[in-house]
Amino acid sequence: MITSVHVPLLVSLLLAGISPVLAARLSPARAAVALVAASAAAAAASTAWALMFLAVTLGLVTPLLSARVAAHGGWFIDSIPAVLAAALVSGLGAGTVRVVAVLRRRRRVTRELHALCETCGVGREELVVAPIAHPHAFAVPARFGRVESTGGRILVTVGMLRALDAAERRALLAHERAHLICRHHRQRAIVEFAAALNPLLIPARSAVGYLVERAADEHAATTIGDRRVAAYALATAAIAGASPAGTHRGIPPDAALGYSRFGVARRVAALHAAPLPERRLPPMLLIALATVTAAETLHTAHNLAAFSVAEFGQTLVAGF
Amino acid sequence: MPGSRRSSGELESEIMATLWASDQPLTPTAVRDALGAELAYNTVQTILVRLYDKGLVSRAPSGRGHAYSPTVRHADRAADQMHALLEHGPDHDAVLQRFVTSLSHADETALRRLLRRRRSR
Repeated sequence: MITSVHVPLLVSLLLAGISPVLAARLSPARAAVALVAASAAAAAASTAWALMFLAVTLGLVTPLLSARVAAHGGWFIDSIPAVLAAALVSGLGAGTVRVVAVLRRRRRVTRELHALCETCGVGREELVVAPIAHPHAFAVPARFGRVESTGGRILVTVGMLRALDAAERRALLAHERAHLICRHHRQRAIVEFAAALNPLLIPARSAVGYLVERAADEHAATTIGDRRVAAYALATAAIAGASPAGTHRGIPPDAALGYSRFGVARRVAALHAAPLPERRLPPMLLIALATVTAAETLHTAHNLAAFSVAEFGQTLVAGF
Repeated sequence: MPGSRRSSGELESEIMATLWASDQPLTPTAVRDALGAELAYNTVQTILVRLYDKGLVSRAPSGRGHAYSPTVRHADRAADQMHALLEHGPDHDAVLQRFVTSLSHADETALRRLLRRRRSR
């Protein structure tokens, strides 16, 4: 197989380029799964790739060893100029810092959401209503290890319920329920960590954020049996939330890519249009490409580690 | 109303949502009318009693039966906690699964026009 050592980077770039296209062209649930799988593989591959370069450049791995690895079907990893190596180190350092920040932020938000549910809820009801006038709605996944039949709880404010009519409220509940049943928070977590490790995957993260909302919208439309009502629910909730108090309080992180900020209008438009056809091939190809890349990178890393250990052992033996 | 049948848990959520959305206590008949006519009165009545037993709603005599309203708990603490949750803004939107996020001016205009068209239909 002809591969270049830079394939992990090329795959990440490719993902960055095609994420918006996939988000626009494929049925949302399938496209999300494909992007999540490909992003996870690309993040693993690019991290292993950076670590290998660093090991070789720092002299932890001799060029001879690299050649042996290449002879066994892996990639030949050359040492790189000091400037590039420095960039790589700072990149890996920044990635680690970002991963820790994501972990802490997730823990904090989870704690705050559950505290709010405890305050407003009684027992373990699915629906928790906060007596707050501003319209908000969240899916609150059950904590890890806690088994709940619905997969979590739905937290809405009175303001949101009053903004909608009965049919629209049903669409809202079906939307949030879809997030919980389909475990969308896991998909979002995976791409968030992937993008923290490798910023080239930020477009994929944005696309997945948009796609899981679209998947939940489609689920809601199917459940209530009316795409237009689902669209009106979304539009009404967005307009109610855009009252002066909540207007443009900050631009969401993915706004630059036009998902969060323009997401609602796009979602409304998508509900007005006919559902996208289910296509299997493009997502499968994407997953296959990313998997092969990750496998090849990890294969090289594994050989490099195994040969290094073997060589170290021989050095020790020779020393005695 | 078209669409799939609701499970009893889903119905409980929907009835609670209806009671919260109303600014006055609702009788079982009023709840059923708000939710769509294919529900039996007895179904709605049974669920309301169950919600009452769980302490989720309170009731007051009304005509020959009762009118139900949701019990509000810890409104001040809830407001503080919601504020804490949202004050970090954009950073936390990556973790929160919110129904909607902020709108651009152009989108807001387009959505308002859509909703006006619907009302005038």
